[in-house]
Parts: sequence; structure tokens; C-alpha cells
Amino acid sequence: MSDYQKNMLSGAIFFLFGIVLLFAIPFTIQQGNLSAVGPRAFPNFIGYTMVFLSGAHLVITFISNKLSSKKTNEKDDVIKNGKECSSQGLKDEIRVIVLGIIMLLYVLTFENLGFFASTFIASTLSLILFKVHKWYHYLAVYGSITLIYLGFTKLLFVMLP
Amino acid sequence: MKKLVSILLVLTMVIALAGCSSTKEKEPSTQTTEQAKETETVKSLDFPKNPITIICPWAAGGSSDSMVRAIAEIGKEYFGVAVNVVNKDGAGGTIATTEFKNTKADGYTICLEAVGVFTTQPFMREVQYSMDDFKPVIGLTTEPIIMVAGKQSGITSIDDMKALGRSISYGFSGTGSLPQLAQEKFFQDSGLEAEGVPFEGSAPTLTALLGSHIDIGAAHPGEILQYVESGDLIPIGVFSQERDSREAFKNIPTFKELGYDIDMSVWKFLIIPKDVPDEVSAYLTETMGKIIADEKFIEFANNSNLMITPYTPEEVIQKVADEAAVNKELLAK
Amino acid sequence: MILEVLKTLFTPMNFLFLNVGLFSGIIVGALPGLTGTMCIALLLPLTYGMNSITSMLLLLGVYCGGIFGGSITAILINTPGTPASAATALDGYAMAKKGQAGRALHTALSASIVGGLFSTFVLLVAAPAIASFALKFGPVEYFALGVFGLTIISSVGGDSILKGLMMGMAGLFVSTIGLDPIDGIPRFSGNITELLGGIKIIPALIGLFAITEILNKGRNIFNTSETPIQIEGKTKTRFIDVLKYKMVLLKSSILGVFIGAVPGTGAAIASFLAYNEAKRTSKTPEEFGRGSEEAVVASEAANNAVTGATLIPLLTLGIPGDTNTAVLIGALTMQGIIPGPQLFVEQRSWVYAIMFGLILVNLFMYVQGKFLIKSFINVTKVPSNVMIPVLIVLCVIGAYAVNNNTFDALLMIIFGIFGYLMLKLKFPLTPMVIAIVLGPMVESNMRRALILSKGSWSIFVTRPISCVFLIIAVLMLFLPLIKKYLIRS
Repeated sequence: MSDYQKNMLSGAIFFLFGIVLLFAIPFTIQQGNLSAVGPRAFPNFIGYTMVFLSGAHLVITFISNKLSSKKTNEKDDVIKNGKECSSQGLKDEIRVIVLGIIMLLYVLTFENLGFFASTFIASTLSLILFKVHKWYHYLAVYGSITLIYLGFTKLLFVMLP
Repeated sequence: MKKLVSILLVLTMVIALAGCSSTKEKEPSTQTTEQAKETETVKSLDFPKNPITIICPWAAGGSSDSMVRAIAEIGKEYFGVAVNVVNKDGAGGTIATTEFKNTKADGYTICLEAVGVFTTQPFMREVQYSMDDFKPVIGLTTEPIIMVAGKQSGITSIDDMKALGRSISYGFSGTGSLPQLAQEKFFQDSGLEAEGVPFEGSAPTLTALLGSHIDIGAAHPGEILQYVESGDLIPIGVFSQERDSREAFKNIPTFKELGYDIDMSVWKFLIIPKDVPDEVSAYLTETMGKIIADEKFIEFANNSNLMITPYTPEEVIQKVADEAAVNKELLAK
Repeated sequence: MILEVLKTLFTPMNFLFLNVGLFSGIIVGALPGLTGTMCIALLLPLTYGMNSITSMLLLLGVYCGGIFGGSITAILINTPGTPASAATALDGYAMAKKGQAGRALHTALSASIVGGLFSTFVLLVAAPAIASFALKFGPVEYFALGVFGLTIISSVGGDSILKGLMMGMAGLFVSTIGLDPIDGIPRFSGNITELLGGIKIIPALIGLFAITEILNKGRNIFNTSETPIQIEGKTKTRFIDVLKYKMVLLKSSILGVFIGAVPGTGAAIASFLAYNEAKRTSKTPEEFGRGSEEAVVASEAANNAVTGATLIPLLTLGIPGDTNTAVLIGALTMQGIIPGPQLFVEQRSWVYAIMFGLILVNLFMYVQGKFLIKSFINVTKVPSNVMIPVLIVLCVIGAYAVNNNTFDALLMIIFGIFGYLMLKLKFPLTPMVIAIVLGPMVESNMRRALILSKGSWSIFVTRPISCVFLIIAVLMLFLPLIKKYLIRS
């Protein structure tokens, strides 16, 4: 994705967010009882500013793109961002997505499965994801996790499920 | 290699620290066996076997938190097991209370509550809990609410307020709190023009008072004692049935004497989920009663200017219901 | 009297507990999510049987140590252990990536000591005067101060100020989630009870800094062109080296003292303000954000200068300068000591013992710091693919431990994913953090001020302190733009 596309996309997202926000405010926030500057005021301010800023961003991106020579821009972008689209780049991004999913699952099961179970699963999965082969690395990680557990619960009196 | 050495060093320090904190626990353990014998008859209950947790619905370091930690520290001796404190603050205590509803009813988790959670918060917005979900263990402490004026405002009495001729600003800690309600009612009844300014806690409220950004505020004795003594804050009246009998406060008139029958104090108590077995809850009530009668707790209460009020579970339920009815009317206006 | 004070201070018990406090504070501060405040609260019951000066030294040690500890992880793994070190992470981590981690750490330590000692000096000499100035801050002034703080966004926004401002708005939006601070009306919390309390700064901070970085590392893990964090040959900077940044040290310390003395503001605000000021007057502003040592010096001096300063309102008026000192009040109450105007008059020697004790804390922190830096640096030699799982665990525990709530940990991960996506779209994350920290202060005080002035907006310009801050804020916001235009023409 070229810089131009990134900027347009992000500008559009923020713009949309601002509009949605402005509409959502009267629906979700009740009127306050103390004076005019109530609970809706600040969110309204944020909404309007967001729309204004993202609008300006879209306009500026569009204009500066038109002004400078189009062809050289696209080539530079491809060279800069080419790495992302190569097969290695794609693998990297997929790895990030998987890592993100592992973390989400970890957090969601933290209380249900208990600290040890969820941590054990999450750390093993990530070690596998990172292609760790040496068994003593796995052991070191499990050992540190146990130490962490002891440290937090015995020393710091932080309760872990 | 270096890594191993440094890890070992850190480990030894960690163990030394652990040693530090555990030596402190060794002292009470000799007392534990003695006191545990006292409650031996009830101990055939086989409770407690595991550590007990007390939940504090307010942030660490606050007045509620200090009280829970004092109870936890003393409780170690009486219960014979570790007593841990867990803070879950937010939304005036309602978040923790809502979660507490779903806690296992085995008696190992107790929750601190301030009366406002049941008598004011439910009328301000939808809450998912009520007193019916819980069983009180025991009442703990009570603090009356005293109205004070900043030195610079020139106000020393209600008459001064009437003579002021301009609108009066008053501050309180937390929207929907009892100090707010008490002051609101007063200003309504007196017909004086006033603006209420909420703050995040008692410290910001007092700061604003001392800096004369607001004219009037309402706070607890413990918080204002030194300022009343130094003259920076002038007490106007106390919102309770009778005057505070303690030395420093006995000259402050009640609002009832001044012509406004407003009686609101903040009191705190402990609760457990309603399905906790009766023997366990009776044991908890009895032991907590001993803990707050312990001289260490009395000393803590005196230092913080708290009055110890060990209401029985039935008294707690009654008081909560009564006060809720009064406040419901007030808040409906 | 000085001799009497020193006699009560220099006892073996005091030295022991001071160091125990420092050590615990640094370690806890370094752990993401756990703050010195929490550690102080945990140690409260332990202080019960102790001599009051000993317990204060213990807790002050935790306090100062906690602020420095946060900087260690901020520099090494881009995870500020406490919000106070968020500004340090900006350039500290960049320095680490360039292989200068050791230098960054030692510079941070030296700057912290300078800031801490400076604030103690001010505390000793000018406490009552500063306290009465701090009292002049009411809702109007707090609002102006907050707005001033927010304008920093334009300078940490990286290349595009517009993008920085948009992220700032996003941060302000996040800060409105939860209960309205004035009316108590729920905003944007849906049916989720946990959101009623609002989004706490720590899950957001760890998410945006640490989790985002973890995701980044995850992407580049097999990329051998990424140099791991090395420590170059001569890593030890001597204390004297930091003194070449005299002006920055002075200004940052003054800013830190000022912010610390004003109740209700904390080290995070101070460090960002100092960072901003240093960048504005630096000879190499383009280096800021890319590994400028000056930046680390500025934010570290400021956040430690807050430590002595928060004691100013505490010891003279009995009002806490920030959340840490609020917990300290609890410790003192347990001892039967009520800090305030009376204490200052009646028990001067006790008060002075504490002040001198703070000097000792700073000195010992230098010693412990040097030692602990060596140990921590060794941790970075662990290969990434083994380190990351452990880091994830620490972060999750940290976010969970704030309120014993898994929801906070979930929020943290969501912020992390959001941060990663934003970085891909080339948006800066720091403005969002600043907005989340300052948003509540700005909004609630604006509304309080308007209640007091009965809706009149002119109050913000008629009160002198507020007017000054607002003017400076406007200048700060437009200065970078003006500069750009001046350069072009």
C-alpha cells in the first residue's frame, strides 16, 4: 500500500469515526442537570474537531498528491513498501496476526483456566510460533513463569487466578 | 555466565526480602495458636483453611483502603490464615459490588461497603445489585459529615451565609455522595442560592477550600481536624442527630439545632454473598467483632478519627433500608 | 537542631529499610503495570510497628525507586514501568536500538539524581512559599495547565502535526469513556460494567507501548538485518557527563518541582512538559524522538524532581501532591502523625529529618541504580524469541494487577493491536497517551470552572495564572507551524 493510499484510508477512517461519534452522542448520553456544559459538550467538541482534522488531512493528502509528479511517487512507494508485499513480508504479517490472536486468547482464558494453564498454553504456542527448537529454552521460560508467579503472589501479595 | 550470576544475585536479594516479610509474620504465629484455641468450638467448622480475601471497592491508599488493610493485618492473628486485600475501584464502588454478587459463597471473600453504594448510587443510575444479594457481616465505623467554610470566605455561621448576598459555592467529593446530598438539602431548605462543585476525592475538595476557590465544603472529622484547630477552616454544623462527643468537635452544633433536620453520616460495613452457610457467616461476624475490638484497631480508629459502630447484620439491613428510603425521595427531586 | 535531626536519621535500621524500600521500588517500578504507588500501599501494614522516620524512609525509598525503575524497562523494552517514564521511552528506547542502552540508562540515573536532589533542596528551603503558591491553583488554573499540557501533542506528533492532533483527539475520546466526572452519567460504556470506571491509564499505556512493540518484534524476529539491542564498548557514563546538559537539567527540575507541588498532577505530566521544553530550546530538535540523550535527561530529571516537590504540600498543608503521597498520608495516619500546618510548626525536627532523609534516598539510589543497571542489561542478552513470551506474561499480569480485573488486560491487548495498526498507517502513538492522561483533568476542571463562574467563559482569561498558561499554550500549538513557514520564506 502506498503512502498516499495509507493516508487516504486513515483519513477516511477518522472522518467516519467523527461522524459516527457525533450521531451517537445524543443517543447514548443523557442530558446532564447542571448547566449547559454537560456530559455531551466535550464529546461533541471531540467529534467536530475530529471531522475537521480528518477532513483537512484528506484534502491535503489529495492536493499534495496531485501537485507532485504521480509516476515517481508510485515507484518510490513500491520500492519502500515492496518488502511488505513480498512473500517473506506476508509471512511476517501473518505471524503478527497469529501472535495477536494468541495474546487475545490468553487474556480471555486468564481467569477461566487459571494462571498456570493459560500462561502455559500461551507461552508454548508463542515459542512454537517463533520456531524455538532447543528444549532448554522452553524449560527456561516455564521456570521464569513459575518464579514470576511465586514472586507476585508471595512477595507482592498480588492475587493471580 | 554473567547472566546467571546476576540472576542468582537478584534471586538472593529477593529471598532476603521474602525473609524480611516472613519474619514479621513469625511473631503473630505464636499468638495464633492461643487465639485459635479461643474459637476452637467454632473451629470444628473447618473454616478458614485457605487465605481470606477482603475486597475494597476504592483505590489503594484511601481511607477505606487503610481501614481494610488494618483489619487484614490484625485479622491474620484472629483467623489464623493470611488475609489479603484486593482493590477494585471505580464508579463509586458499584463496579466491585456488582462483581462481588457473583463471587463464590464460601465465606473466603468478604467485601467492604460504604452505605452510599446502597443508598445513593442505585438512585442515580441503573445498578445490577441490591442489598438482597448479600448478607451483612458487621458494621464497622461511622464518620459524621461536617460542613466547613474556608477562612477567606468570611463565613462563620448560617447567618453569615444569609447576609452574604451572593451565591455560595460548595464542594464535595464524588457525585451522588452523602456530603453532596446533605449540603444540597440544606441549601434547598434554607432557600440560599448555591452551586455544587464535585471533586474527585476529599483531598482536591479540601485543597479547593483552603485555596478559597470554593466557599463551603463538607467532609469527615478526620480530614478536617487539623484545619479546624489551626483556624484555616471554620466549622458550621454537623449533619447528625447529636453532637460529636469528642473533644475537638463538641462545640459544633448539629444542623438539627440550627433548624434543619438533616441526618446523614457515612458508615461502612462488611458483606458476604447471601448464600454463605449460616455457621460460616456467624463465625465471621463473631471474629470480625473481636478484630474491631482489638486495641490495635481502636488505636487506628482513633488516629483516623473514626467512630467504631459494630452494628449487627440485622441492624445493618434496617439502617440501609431506612436511609435508602430517605435518599430516594431526595434524589427524585 | 541540625545535629539532633542527623542523630535521629543516621541509624542502622533507617539505612537498612531505606535500601530495602529503594530496591523494592526499583524492581516494582520496572515491572510493567505495577507502580510504586501500589508497592507503597502493600507495604503500609508492615510500617505499623516501625519508628515513624524509618517507615517514611522505607516508603520514600519505594517512591523514588519506583520512578527510576520505570525508566529501566522504558529504555530497554519500550515499556514504561510507570506512566512517569513514558516520555523517557520515546528517546530512551531509540537510543537502545542504536546500541546505546547502557548510556541511556546511566544518563537516566544521573539525571534522576539531579532532579531528586534539586527538589529536596527546594523542599528544604522554600516549602511554605511554594505551597501557598500551589494553593492558588483552582479549577480554572488546572484547566489552563491541562490545555498547556495537551499542546505538547503538536511537538511529539512526529512529522505530521495533523496526524498527531488526530491521535490526540482519539485519546481524548478514550478519556471520556466511563462516568461523567461532574454529573455521574455513563458515557460510551454500553452495558459493560467495567467500563463505567473509565479506561485506566496503565492498560492503555502498556498496550500502546509494550504490546505494540511486542507485535513489531514478532514481525521482525527472523529479520536478521534488525540489529539486536547491543551494548557498545564503553557504556559507563560518569556522573559528570550529565552535567554538560546544565540548562536542560535546571529547567526540567524546575518544571518537575512546580508540577509536583501543585496537588493532583503527577510525574507523567512533568516529564512530558520537560521533554517538550527541552525540544523547543534544543540545538538539535530533530534528534528528539530518534535517540537524543538530551531528551532522556529532560524527562528523567523532571519526573524525579516531582518526588521532593510532592512532599511540599504534604508536609506544609497536609495535602498530597500526587497519588503516591496520598498513600503516604495513610501510613502517617497509622502512626498517629497528621501532616499539615500544625506538624510543621510543632515537630520541625521530624519534618526536617524526613527532608534530609530524602537526600539520603537519592544518594543511595545512585549506588543501587548503578548496580541494578548491570543486572538488567544482562537480561537484554536473552534472545527475543524466548523473551517475548515472558514479556507478554509480565504485561498481562501488570495490567491485571491494577484492579484485579481481566478486562483491563483485554483492553491492553486491544490497545496494542490498535497501536500496531496505527503505526502501520504512520500515526504517532504518544499524543494518544498524553491525551488519555490529561483529558480527564482538562474536562472536569473546565466544567468545574464554568459552574463556579456560572457559565461565563471569560473567567479563563481574567484570572492571571490561567491567562498566562493559555497564552503560552496557544503559542506552543502554533509555533511549529509558524517556524515552518518562516523557514520556507
